[in-house]
Amino acid sequence: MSFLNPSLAGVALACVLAPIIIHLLFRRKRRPVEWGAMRFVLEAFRRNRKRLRLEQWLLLAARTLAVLLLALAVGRPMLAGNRPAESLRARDLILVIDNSLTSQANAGSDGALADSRKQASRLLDELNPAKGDRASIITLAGPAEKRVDAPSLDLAGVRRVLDQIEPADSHADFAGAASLIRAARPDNQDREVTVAVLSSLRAGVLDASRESKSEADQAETVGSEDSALSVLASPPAEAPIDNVAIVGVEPLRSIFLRGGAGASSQQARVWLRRFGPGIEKPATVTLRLRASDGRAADDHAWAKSQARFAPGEDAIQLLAPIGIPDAKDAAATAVSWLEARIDEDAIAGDNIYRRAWKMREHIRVAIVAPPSTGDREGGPSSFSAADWLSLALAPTAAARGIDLDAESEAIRTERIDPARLSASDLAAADAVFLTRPDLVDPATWPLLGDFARRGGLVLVCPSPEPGVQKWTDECVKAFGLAWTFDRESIERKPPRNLRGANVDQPLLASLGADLAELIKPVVAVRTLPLQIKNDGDWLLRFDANEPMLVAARPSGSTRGLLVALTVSPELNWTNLPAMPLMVPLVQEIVRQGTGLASGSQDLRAGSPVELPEELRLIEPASARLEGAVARTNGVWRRVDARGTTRELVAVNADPAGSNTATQTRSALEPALKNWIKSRQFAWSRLADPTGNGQGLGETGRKPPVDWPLLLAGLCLLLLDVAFSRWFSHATVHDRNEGASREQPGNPEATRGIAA
Amino acid sequence: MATADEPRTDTNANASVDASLYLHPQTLARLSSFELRAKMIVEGLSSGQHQSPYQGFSVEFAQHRPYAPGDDLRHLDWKVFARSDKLHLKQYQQETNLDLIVLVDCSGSMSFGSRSFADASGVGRETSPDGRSHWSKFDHATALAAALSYITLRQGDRVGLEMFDEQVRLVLRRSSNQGTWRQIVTALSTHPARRTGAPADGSTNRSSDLKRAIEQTFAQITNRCIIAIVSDFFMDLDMIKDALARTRSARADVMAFQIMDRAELEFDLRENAGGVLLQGLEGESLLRIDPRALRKGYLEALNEHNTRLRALLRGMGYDYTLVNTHDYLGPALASFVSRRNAQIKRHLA
Repeated sequence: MSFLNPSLAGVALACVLAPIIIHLLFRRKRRPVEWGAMRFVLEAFRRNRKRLRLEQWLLLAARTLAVLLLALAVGRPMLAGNRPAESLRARDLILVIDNSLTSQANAGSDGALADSRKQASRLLDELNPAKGDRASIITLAGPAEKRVDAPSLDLAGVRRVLDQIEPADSHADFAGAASLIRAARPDNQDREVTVAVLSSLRAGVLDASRESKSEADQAETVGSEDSALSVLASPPAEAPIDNVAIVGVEPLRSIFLRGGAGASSQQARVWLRRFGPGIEKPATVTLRLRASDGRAADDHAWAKSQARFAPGEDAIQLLAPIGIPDAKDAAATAVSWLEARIDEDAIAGDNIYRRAWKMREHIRVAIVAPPSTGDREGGPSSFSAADWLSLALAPTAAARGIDLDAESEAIRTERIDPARLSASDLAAADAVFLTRPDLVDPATWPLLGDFARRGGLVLVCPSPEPGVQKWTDECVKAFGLAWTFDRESIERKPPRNLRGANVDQPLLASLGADLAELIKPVVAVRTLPLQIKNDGDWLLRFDANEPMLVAARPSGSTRGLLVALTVSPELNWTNLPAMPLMVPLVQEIVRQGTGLASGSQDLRAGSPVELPEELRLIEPASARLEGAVARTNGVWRRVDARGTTRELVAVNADPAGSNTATQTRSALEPALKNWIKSRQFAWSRLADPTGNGQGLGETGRKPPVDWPLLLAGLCLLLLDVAFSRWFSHATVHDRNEGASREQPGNPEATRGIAA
Repeated sequence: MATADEPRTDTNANASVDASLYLHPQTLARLSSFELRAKMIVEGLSSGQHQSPYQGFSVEFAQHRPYAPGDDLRHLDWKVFARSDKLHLKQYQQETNLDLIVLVDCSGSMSFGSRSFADASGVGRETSPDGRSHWSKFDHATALAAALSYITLRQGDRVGLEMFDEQVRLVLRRSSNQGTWRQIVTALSTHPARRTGAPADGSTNRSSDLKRAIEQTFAQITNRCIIAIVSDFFMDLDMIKDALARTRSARADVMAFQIMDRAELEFDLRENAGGVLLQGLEGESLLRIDPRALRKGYLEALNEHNTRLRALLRGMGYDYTLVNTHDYLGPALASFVSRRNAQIKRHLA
């Protein structure tokens, strides 16, 4: 609490001691009055001692409190948070405008963002630039953004900025807004700061039940109770709105090979959620899904399916077919993605979902091994690991007696001599198989690491030659992994049986339940033990938890994949090459692995985008990439210095902002109060049809509370008079009777008689 | 004049006290035509104007009673027998003299007074012989005792005096001599009530011991008498009850005069900021009070005490009179004596 007149308040507060001092002064030693009937005085005193003491305390309390209140009133106190001379101070208005995904919700009006603009304009009307009032704008869509760098006296310019605010597809970022508010606060404390939160405050903006404890706790404390900061919030929207959002799309194949079979049976998993009061009713949503390469598509290019919500069901997952464009037009573009759409509803931003999805004519696999001897007559026992892998990559070609690197296959292989492996060889390949890593020059391993980090797939298996596996150190170093290979392979007696398969990993997910049967007959008589130490994932393993197949991304990279076998796929190591598992395993490693390794950034709107290279927008034209943040959904391609597309970046709406459920003021108030510790929180009446709440004029500018204190003090004085009268037990005597009497027992009267 | 175990030696210094100080001429004028009669039938040593409890066969007829076998036929009333054909015996009352014992309380509380001496005394003096400017309750008690003694002596009866506080201070034997009244007045004037300090035993009360005074009185007399107790009765009612039980067992008549100052009756002390510091007169400690806040409780306690005292006395058939020191004694005493005599006559009729 502070005072407008602190010196007066100090003097007046000292007067609180006056009743006590007067009381003590009157208790000083006086000449006693002799009294005969003392026994009755003592008896009466004993009987009434408690009552008399209570009366005295009440009187003292009433008098002291009355003086205290009057003293406070004289000092003109300000309540907590109010600042002295507040009416003379200029104000900084910080408009926190909600332009998050939820602000697109349209309940028959112009939308929540339009309502927020109107409220902001009315608040700006209440400012007086001549007095020094300033305004700034912070948009709430994540990450929160300061739209006016510093509080500005140019309110017309602020209005122009206000009109330019567009809705984003990201979730509201209250924590970031709190940080910006703190940065925007003036250093000196002599300005009133009002933070106006203008939002529909649906659950997608601020989930009071969940975020009041989590996000608000993480939010930075901007003000304190004694600061000059107050918060004004627009009342939460009350109109119910139903909304369905596409939460995610995941193709079963991470890469689509046009040259392969089954082009018409491509599918993807789609996750949908719905919000609003309509959850209790059944609903059907039409889902359209297609593979897009950026060109306009006819309606028949979409594969349509129906998603049905049961009553009370708010989330479903369905397997939907993907519409594939005609193969004859595909060669014209090098980029492609999956695009899912649902029917238009309250929020448009979450009705579309894009995901990078490669469509390739074929995959080029470089098998780094010495040239094949071509001695097929020797039988399978003479096949090298490279031969087995080549057979597994092109089994149909082999069956037809076609050369292994036939151009018509979806997976094309090329044998490269390890001694001559160069960067140009790697640039033309999607995947590299190292069956003789011991023959790779140590200087080449870094090239392999770079190849992986650019999105390449590397498969490495032990050298079948006996002796020390010297290549392991270079390999682990090149990929930055914490793996540990044993120096030499170990002969296993009895042979190790393949016992475990990790189907949760996307690399083998397509094999599904079949994998359990396929691994049963596989045994290994020699292995190169490997400890991966939580760096990567195991895919297949022998009994005793010894891994057979592991995979990991190169350290520090979101792209690339290193797959390692702990057995050489030769018959003197394992029977895997001759088992049914061999072909699907190698095929999946290549088909899924190249897709996974190539990497693609599928981001939520508002997330930061890595910008080592230029991003070029593909669609839609309205998509916004501001700095390193994509605020709306869209697809961008990342190009290198030569203009070559390196990867696709797909940005989708943040489904956290899709929740259109309404919330009550009582539920929101704690969350908003926790968001910023202000000395005053109020609901704005600008958008309140009931008229409750405050306008900007009242916030933070409450007058001093001297009049209530003065009235309270006067009331206490009246009470004190009543107490004095009541507790004194005084009665009105007849004037004549009183005049005719002398005052017995009075020392003055006694002295008069004596004289 | 015989005194109690602690006789006061300073009484001789004021031997020449003026009795008129304590008996206002108007009072004497009022009382000169009154006779004090025993309310109860008392036993006397000599024949006088008061009835004897022995209803024998003396001069004055008392009543008839039916004849019972064995009665002395000499007392049969033949005239009644002749008229009514019934046998009745005559009974007679024997008249005795009246002994009045005046017990005067001289405790500390009796020294209180708020009336000016000049107003109360009948001779226009401003101060008492000992320099006091106020008329104390003891002064009033002295005047009352002197008046009662005057009436009694004037009608030829004997009067004795006893002064007491927490112990008996003075005893004056009964006498009907001419100089008795002078002796009584001298004794009263030379033994004033004085404020007492705190008792040595640590108790807070040094009030009068009426029981001891009564017992000492009846230790010296054997015949029935009238006991006039002049006191403020600021003492325990249980002790008073015990004392009166002793008088009742001795079949004595009691006239109780409670002397109180108007200030004590009204407790109308002038308000002072910070309260009034009261000093008790019988060893009580100092007490700071707000008079107006305590007045109601004080009056309740006082009235309760007086009511119970009056009920106690009247329950035993004794007279009780509250005497205000601010009232003149003559009219009040005359009214009391006449009322008492009328009551006795009605009783005898």
